[in-house]
Amino acid sequence: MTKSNPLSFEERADKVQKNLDSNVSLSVGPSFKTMAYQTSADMIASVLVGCGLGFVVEHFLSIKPWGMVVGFFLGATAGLLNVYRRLVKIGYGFGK
Amino acid sequence: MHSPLEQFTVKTLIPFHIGDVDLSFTNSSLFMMISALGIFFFLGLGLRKPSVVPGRFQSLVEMAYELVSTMIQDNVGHDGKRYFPFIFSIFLFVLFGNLLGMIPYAFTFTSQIILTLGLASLVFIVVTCIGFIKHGFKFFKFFLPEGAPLFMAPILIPIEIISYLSRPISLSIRLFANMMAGHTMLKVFALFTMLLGIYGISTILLNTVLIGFEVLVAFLQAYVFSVLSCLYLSDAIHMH
Repeated sequence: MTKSNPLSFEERADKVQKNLDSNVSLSVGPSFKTMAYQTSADMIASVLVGCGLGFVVEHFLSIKPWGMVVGFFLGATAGLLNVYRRLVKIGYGFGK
Repeated sequence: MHSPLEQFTVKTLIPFHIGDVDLSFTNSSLFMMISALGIFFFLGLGLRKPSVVPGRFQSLVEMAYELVSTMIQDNVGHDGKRYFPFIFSIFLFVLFGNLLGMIPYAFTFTSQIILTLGLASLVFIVVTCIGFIKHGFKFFKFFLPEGAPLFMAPILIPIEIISYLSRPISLSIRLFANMMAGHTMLKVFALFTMLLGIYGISTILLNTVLIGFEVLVAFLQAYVFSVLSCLYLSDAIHMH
């Protein structure tokens, strides 16, 4: 006598597929901790580059301090965009 | 008492100047040379007598090869195979630099931001050149996301350019910060051992665990550096 499984074949296949998907997506980074390090480095780097470019622009166009002010906000936005893209890549994006 | 940051001092071993440019041979240069020689002997000796059933040394070399080969295959695809030597060299150089730094009294050259920034800039320049060679001026499309309305371009293009330029900075900060923080932490706990006398045994135990953790970080950071190089390469080749 065979024991009947409470889940249908489709349900079990879905479950396996979900597990597979989550494993594949997690393999982007070695662990969440490493991912957190990477994300923070991304944000810091974007703000630094934004401020740096702003500093160069304001120096050459003599528009102190607006270059750095705008550069900071653009850099911070770019940093957030990088974080968002990283989240989308591992399946945590908004609306996914 | 030594400062925990003293281990990162670059010392001149053989002074050498051309005009105003200081090209002295430093402890950093020495360990870079040791690392390069280490890679040379690691690969050379490992494949000296290649056999179908590999010995211990040969399988170590094959494991490193397989790791980078799979990494390129997974992240870049078939087109990435021709850039294997580039990624493999970077991976081994960073790995040997990180691991050499774990030997007592050795100098960790990957904890110097000038070196990590140099390596990251090399990756950045090579990847950008590949993008331009593959796609020509279409590569500029990279800076305006597909489907974005045109009136948003004045805001989106600077953001995308900053995001693109931040890649070498984030790549270099990550490696440098991890190596520097780890080594400083080891020194700080070693200092506690000296200060605590008999109770210092507790910090010795902690430091033993931390050294194991640092070896893991050494591998992980070399891996992360090459994986991200692969991802940037994939962006340049496939334009997404």
